[in-house]
Amino acid sequence: MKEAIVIGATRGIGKTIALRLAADGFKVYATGRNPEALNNGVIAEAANAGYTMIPLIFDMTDRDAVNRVYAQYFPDHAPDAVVYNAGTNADDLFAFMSPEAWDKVLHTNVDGFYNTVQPLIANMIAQKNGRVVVISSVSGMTGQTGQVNYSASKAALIGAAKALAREVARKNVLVNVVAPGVIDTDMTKDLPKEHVLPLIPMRRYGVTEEIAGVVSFLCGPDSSYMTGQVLGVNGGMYI
Amino acid sequence: MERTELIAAINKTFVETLEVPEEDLKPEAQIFADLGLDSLDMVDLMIGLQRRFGISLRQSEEMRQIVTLNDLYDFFEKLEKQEKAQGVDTDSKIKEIMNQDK
Ligand SMILES: NC(=O)c1ccc[n+]([C@@H]2O[C@H](COP(=O)([O-])OP(=O)(O)OC[C@H]3O[C@@H](n4cnc5c(N)ncnc54)[C@H](OP(=O)(O)O)[C@@H]3O)[C@@H](O)[C@H]2O)c1
Repeated sequence: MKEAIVIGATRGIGKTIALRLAADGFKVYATGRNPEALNNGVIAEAANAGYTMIPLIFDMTDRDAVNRVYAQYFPDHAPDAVVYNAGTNADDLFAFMSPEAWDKVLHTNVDGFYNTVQPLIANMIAQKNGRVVVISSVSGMTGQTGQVNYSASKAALIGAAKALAREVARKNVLVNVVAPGVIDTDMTKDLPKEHVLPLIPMRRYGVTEEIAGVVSFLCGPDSSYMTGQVLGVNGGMYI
Repeated sequence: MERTELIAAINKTFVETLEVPEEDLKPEAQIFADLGLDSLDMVDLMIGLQRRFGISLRQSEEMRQIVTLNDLYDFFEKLEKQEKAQGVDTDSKIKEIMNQDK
């Protein structure tokens, strides 16, 4: 059975990705910081649907914690697909942005990528087969007012994914990026909808299933000749 | 374990993991220059050897100093002695490798 790990699968986009990959036939490792949220949510839903899903608990900013969990579950292999989805934001105008807001977003979103993906790469290379999907954002492609920190972190992930794609392509490890626009989740629930919708040609927020479908494609057989690409899923917000 | 057994096991890994022709595996052969491998292949090779020998290779500076096949044999011979001192049954691991069908 093929295996996938979804980093940040407790809610929102990551939860839907985990359930979609499980439906696709992957044995899924779903990660989060809060065991109750993970077990009562995505893990319980997966069990009800008859899928194999395993909860992994760590804060991805804690490198040692990640490595302890990996040593237990991936001592000598890597999952076939790694979806780096977890992320955070702390929006503010740059003129007012606190050092904490800058550090938190850069540290979580960028260092989290190193902490959770790098330890798996050597085995993916040796397996000569693998998919890495990184969830960036439309903000990382265009920049967004009030999101200098977040845009920087999401653009960093695009650069990292493209560089990694070049490094490991020869070993059949494919690395791609999905850049969502505005998706209906906790992260966007407080946005002023009346101001945001006019910016989206399709005049609606996306739903998490619309991201999960693209991730499923990137983890599946139909994307076998794609690497280093950034797929915008944004209702036309960035064309 | 005899050095010759170790060499045979490492060579087998080279042939199987990286499809290097057996006849090119001379001790003085430079892994990058003569065998045409690159640093990505080294990752592949090291993981292959790590799995087969059941020993864990941490990213070590020593590994970066490896130039020839002979350096690689030396590196593993040393590692194998260390593992053995810690009670790892490397002999049966090597036997297992050599008995495995391709
Ligand atoms: N929603 C959007 O409109 C949108 C648009 C573009 C891009 N994105 C990106 O899509 C991804 C998912 O967004 P979302 O809207 O689903 O977000 P969300 O509802 O806020 O969920 C974030 C997920 O990341 C996890 N996470 C956050 N910090 C973590 C940490 N330090 N260690 C481990 N896990 C951590 C959370 O787990 P916990 O339960 O442990 O907190 C949660 O599972 C993010 O990378 C986000 O930047 C979202």
